[in-house]
Amino acid sequence: MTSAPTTRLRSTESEGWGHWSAQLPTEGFVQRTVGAAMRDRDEGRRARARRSAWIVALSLVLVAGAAYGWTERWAHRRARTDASDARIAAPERIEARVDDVTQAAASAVTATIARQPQHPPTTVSPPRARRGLASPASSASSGRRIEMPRCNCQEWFCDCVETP
Amino acid sequence: MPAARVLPELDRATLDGCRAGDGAALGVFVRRHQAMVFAFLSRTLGAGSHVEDLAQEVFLRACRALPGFDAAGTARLSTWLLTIASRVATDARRKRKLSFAPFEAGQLLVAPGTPETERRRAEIGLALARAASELSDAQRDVFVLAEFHDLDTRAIAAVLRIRESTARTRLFRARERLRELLRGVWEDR
Repeated sequence: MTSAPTTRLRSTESEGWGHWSAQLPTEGFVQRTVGAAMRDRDEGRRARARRSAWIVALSLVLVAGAAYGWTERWAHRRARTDASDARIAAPERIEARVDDVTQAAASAVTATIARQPQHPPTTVSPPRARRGLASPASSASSGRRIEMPRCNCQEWFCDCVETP
Repeated sequence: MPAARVLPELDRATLDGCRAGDGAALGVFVRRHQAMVFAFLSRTLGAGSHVEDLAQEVFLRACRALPGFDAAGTARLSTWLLTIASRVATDARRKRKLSFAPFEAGQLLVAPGTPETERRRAEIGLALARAASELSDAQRDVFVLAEFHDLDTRAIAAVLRIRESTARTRLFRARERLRELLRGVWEDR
């Protein structure tokens, strides 16, 4: 290398790469880097603490939310159970009410019937004799209309239709 | 090939001190490896002010990852640090779109009055850097690790996370290309 020609850059390949000098660290690089590493470490510790706090807070919120949701669900389920129990008990009550209404209606109808004036017993007329075949007995009832009952009245109920 | 620059490993106590965040131990760790990290970054990315920032980033990442480093494992601390440095370099290329910038003549810091030999050596260095800038980033990384950090292809593959055959191919092509580019510089044998 010491006797290299001035006209050309010559070197042997084996030692040549050593000439490719690298950039050297600057003064104080070690101190700056160590300081940065310590700050980074502290920052990392603080970040971990913050992250842990967040995780704890988030866990608490989740647990509280789950507990609230569970309680609500439990209450809702209990309310639904009560409602379905009430629904199951309903037929007896409805039956009882229907009986009450029926009895009330029956008594009202009976009272109405009792209040109505008594009609004289209707006489059943014999069928009208054919013209020309009239018997002496039939002549007395001739010209009367026979009123047939148009309703079905029981003891407690009557569907009579009042005719004018 | 330059003489092997195998750094002595940190002793156990210093390593434990680094893991525990001891400032003195971290100082020893940085002081021991700073030249290697600067050399790798400046040769793969080109010299400049960004090298110091990236070197600091390498050491910060290393300090964060030190608790996970297995001193009893197969990887040496220096190789492990080069792995981090190569990832920092890759990230820097991707994020900042860094392109390789070799030393310019003004950056050679050859003071006037320097002996002719030194001046010539610096000029050779500049020629080498310019030739290396012709390589692809992948080839340059492999070449720098092999030539300046004394790693074999297996270690290079581990550092760059590539297959060993890929590392071998890249190294072969890088050497061929450089030989071609520097035909006028190398002394005829």
